[in-house]
Amino acid sequence: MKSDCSKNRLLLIYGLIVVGWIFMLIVLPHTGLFLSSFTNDDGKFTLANYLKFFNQKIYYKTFLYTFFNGILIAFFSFLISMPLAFFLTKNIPKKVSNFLLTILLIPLGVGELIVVYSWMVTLSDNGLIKHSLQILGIDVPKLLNTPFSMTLGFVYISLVFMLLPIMQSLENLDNCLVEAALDLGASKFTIIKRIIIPFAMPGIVSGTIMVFTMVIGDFLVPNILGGKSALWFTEIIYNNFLTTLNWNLGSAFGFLLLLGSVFVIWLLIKITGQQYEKVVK
Amino acid sequence: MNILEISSVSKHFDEVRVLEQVNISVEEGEFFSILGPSGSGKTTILRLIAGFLYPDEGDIKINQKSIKNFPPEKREVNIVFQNLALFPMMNVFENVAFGLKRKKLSKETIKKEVAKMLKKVGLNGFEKRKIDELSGGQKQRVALARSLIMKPKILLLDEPLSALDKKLKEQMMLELKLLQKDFKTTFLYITHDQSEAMIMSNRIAVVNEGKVEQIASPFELYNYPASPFVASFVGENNRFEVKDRNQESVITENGWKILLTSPEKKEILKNRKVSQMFIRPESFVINPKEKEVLKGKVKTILFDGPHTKIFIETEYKDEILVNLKRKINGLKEGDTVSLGIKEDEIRLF
Repeated sequence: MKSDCSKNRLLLIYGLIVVGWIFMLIVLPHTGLFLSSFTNDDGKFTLANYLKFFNQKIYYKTFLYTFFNGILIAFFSFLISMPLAFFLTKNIPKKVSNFLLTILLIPLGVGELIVVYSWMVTLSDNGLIKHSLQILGIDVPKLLNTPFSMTLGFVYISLVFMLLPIMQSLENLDNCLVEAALDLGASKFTIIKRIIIPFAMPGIVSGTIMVFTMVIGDFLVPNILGGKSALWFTEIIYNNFLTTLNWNLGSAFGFLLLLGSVFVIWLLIKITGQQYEKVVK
Repeated sequence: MNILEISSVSKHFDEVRVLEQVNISVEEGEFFSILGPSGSGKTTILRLIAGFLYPDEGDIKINQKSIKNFPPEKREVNIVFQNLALFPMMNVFENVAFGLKRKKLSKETIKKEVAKMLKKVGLNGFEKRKIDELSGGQKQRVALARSLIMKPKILLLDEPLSALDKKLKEQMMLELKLLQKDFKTTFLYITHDQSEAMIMSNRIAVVNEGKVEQIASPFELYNYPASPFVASFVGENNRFEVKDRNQESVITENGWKILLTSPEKKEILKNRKVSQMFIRPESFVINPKEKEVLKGKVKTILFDGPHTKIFIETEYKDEILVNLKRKINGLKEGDTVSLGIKEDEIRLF
């Protein structure tokens, strides 16, 4: 009886920690953000912060640009991850694939800042790529501070977040399914389209969600690799909080970012016909 | 007419010979089984016919035409896989229609064909069901429908019943047999379960260690096994090592001398070397009216409805199995019994 009782007490303590975490660190700050977004400088209720977003072209344009690019980068990431995941799970021995996967995870351990700076150095006008090509007599256009460098940086840091869930889905793919499709006369293209991709869909959707939310909420890549050519929505939020010190407007924009990404995720799950539980798992 | 001819086919993986000079021919409309223990190479034969593997030597012909170098999608055969390999993200209709869609048939034709096929396998109205909502037997039928709708020249079945429980398995065996009669398609059935093969097949090829041991009807296989392996693998059998023999008798390892008087047995004893003797459990007669050949003590009696298995320790310390039809005439464990043998059912190798 005593052990039962202490078990219950332990459960209670864990429960309190979880509830405390959720309430103190997630619910409370977001409520604060929410309230602050409806408040003006004098502390009165207002809708002005949100109206500003819809009235000024630069805001909603940047917002749409950020979301559009987020989807695009998730798509690029998918294009690279899909064949890579198939290769790692199906074509090579488990040991080799684990080793390669470990290497793919290294940049994650170094930290985003280092990775982004490294890309900056590599892509800059006197950097490795431009310099080597110039020696060979090939003239290349500006690489750094372009949409290209930003996309490259984003795909680089987000790739494993697409790769891992897809790999997890594909690991359960029985080779017999592919053989059965072949046996029924399917071409390679049909097998990819009708068997492999639908089978990996839960992984693809959860990967897309991760990459997408990571990209639209990222600050370092657009700031360092995108330069002034690419205005990212997070940069506008940053400016509001730290440059113009308009916290209320910043809160409203932060909230819009949150709502926007929830909407995109919902849309994605609906379009692909996935169940929420499967994707989260 | 032979629909399938496998001639002198050999296959090895790395250094291991998996198949050695295999010759099998299957007649059109036959229910043909390949029976062998795991690792005997039976699945390799199936994969060679389906086109997932290519033979190192020999040829495979369907309707007199060599298909040895064709890819799987060009061969007019279809497989029912061991784990069925139904597409989990598609419903029943999409699974069954998968092959027809690849043939670029019109939507109406596909719909009509699928409905017809589902009706035939007893699944009409199941079109919209998801695969994980089906029972074991229903999945089995979807897999059959998906393959049969392609109108294959030969339907290859890779132990599709092995995952089912006994009752369902027996029911599905009957269904398979009836379906095969209905479609008149040639079935090539791979199994390690001799009772499955015996019940359903017209003919069986017994395979062991990459070689075909015997091709015969179930009746012949059981009553006239061509090799010691077939004798012990197909059905239950009592095996005796033969130590010595003369013109009219053999002496087993443990010293049991058995007199063989029929002309057929005398012929064998005269002309062949004999090293093993097989006697089926039902070839023994307990307490015979005449010609007692052996004494023994009843060790265990296992009652199994229609049959009773009796384990007897003979006077030579051999443990033998004797099968009796239902009536055991008051036999008890520990009883001493005399045994007779139907001599023409003894097999010598």
